[in-house]
Amino acid sequence: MALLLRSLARQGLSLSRPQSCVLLRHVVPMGTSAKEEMNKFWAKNSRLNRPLSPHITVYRWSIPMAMSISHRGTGIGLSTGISLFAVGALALPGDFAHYLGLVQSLSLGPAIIASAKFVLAFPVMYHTFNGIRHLLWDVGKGFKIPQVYRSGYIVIALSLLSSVALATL
Amino acid sequence: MATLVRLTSICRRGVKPLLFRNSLLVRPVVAQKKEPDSILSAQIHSTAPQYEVGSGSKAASRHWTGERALSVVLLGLLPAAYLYPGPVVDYSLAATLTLHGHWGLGQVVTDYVHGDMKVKVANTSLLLLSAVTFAGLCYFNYHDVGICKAVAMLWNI
Amino acid sequence: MSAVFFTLSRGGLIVAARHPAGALIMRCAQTAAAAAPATQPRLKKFQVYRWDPDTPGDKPRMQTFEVDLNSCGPMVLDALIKIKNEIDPTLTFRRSCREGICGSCAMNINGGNTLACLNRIDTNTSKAAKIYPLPHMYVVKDLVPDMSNFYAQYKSIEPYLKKKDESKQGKEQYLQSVEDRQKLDGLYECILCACCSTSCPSYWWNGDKYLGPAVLMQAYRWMIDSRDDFTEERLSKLQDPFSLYRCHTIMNCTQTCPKGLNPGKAIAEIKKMMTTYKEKRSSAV
Repeated sequence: MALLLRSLARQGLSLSRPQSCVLLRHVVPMGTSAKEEMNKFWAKNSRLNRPLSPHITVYRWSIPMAMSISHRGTGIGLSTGISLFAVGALALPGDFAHYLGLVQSLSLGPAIIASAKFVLAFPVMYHTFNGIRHLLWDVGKGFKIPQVYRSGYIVIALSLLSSVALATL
Repeated sequence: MATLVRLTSICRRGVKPLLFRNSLLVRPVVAQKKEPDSILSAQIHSTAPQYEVGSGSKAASRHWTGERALSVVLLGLLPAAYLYPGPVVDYSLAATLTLHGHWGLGQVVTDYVHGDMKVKVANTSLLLLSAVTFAGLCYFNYHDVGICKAVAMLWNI
Repeated sequence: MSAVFFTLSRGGLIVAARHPAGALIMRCAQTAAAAAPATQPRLKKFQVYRWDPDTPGDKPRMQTFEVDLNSCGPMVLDALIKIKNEIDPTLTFRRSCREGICGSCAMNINGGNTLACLNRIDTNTSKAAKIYPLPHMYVVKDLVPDMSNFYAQYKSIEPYLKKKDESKQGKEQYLQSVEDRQKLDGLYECILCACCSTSCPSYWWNGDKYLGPAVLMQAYRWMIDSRDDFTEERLSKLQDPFSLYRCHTIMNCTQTCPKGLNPGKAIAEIKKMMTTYKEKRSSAV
């Protein structure tokens, strides 16, 4: 069909009923669709066994980039923690007070307790404050690069301060 | 002869079926001031996406909106847990925390897991994990002290 | 007696001579001064990614070149051309306009994606400059990536004006208010260099199905063009988990754009439009 149209176009044929027919003189068929081009790309590059240029090993880390992956990291960590807690609630014999008592009997010093509280609180606070930053982006605010950095520093500062405050509670 | 037959069949059915069948896109080279060209270009330009429009659902954008709405709800539950601890907040937290985590990990799977079978396995495992998590949290709320009280107790160690 | 006045200005030496002989003396002094800096070469190391498809079994490697900055133009592209001219003619890279408008020389320089013709060489000779092709792209040779997928993705968003009623085409201008034209500022200037898309980790991991910031920003450019009638249809095409929604606002794109554009913001605006547009039942033409 493509061959037919192409040859007709070159011959400059025009049809007797122009109102409802294609004026082949005026058209040039496009060689490939976007989808076809994409398929050809993958076929060609795997056939030629071309290397992939380096990415994560060479790309320069920036604060926004690090904060983005940390948001994902804290999210995964917190989800895992909650799931472990839920599975524990179902699988383990004693109740919550029992296990708290076990921890208390270890008689850990106040410094250790405060550090442990910080380690628990920080991912929650960071993910929460950065989450707010994400929600502000979702309504379209704060997309200039200086704003991205500024909001990033505020999130880090608030996370640290709130975690320290919670750890001392 | 065959050529003529083919041509007349195009005349009868128009260009649209042609475009449908083998995604042969035709582009007008020069637009002249004659009447038929408007029909020609109308057929050529507007046919390609036409069979996709209106048939798609808005599932993807609705999911995106749902994720943000849930995040806002969860954000509101945090001060609520501190100010009004109790079963209502406990069960709300269990639901929103699990769903927020489920959707978040779902994005992680979509990003990093490739291949039809692996994606299926990962998503099924995730669903299982989230179901068990929700069950466990509800169990804890019902049979034990509940999420809000538990955090308060933990912090008073 | 010729009176000669020297005045030191912001970088030059303005000499006012009131006597012809004085002028001659000044000219000699100037040429003597100009000859002085040529003694010490400032050698800068350039570590460049190399891979040759025509050498069987060749593995990608880094090759170090030393360039005297005293006889080299200020931009990284000048250094690459100098290396190709004077040291290794097999070094392969794309280039054309040398002024930051064609997008050919897009590559990863010192960890960031920019145009080599606009990236000033860091004159600190104790540090090597590291030059890689655009990240996570199939390499054709040395610094040349295969851009076909990127172009196919651009084609897929139909980056041209589409009207519901084509009957007026070519007769008159399609008018647009000043305010509506302003909406295109910051969008139309994209040179499709692919620096942004290849800086996006989501595009690295899902470049087959995620369109990437460059193409998405152009999709937005056509969505908000007041002369275009197919906004809803353009939005509908993005209703799947990958085309648009692999963007997680990492913001590497806006940070790296050599033209100072903001694809991240454009994508956020698309996401907003995706929630509020009304699906139109299109009638057959």
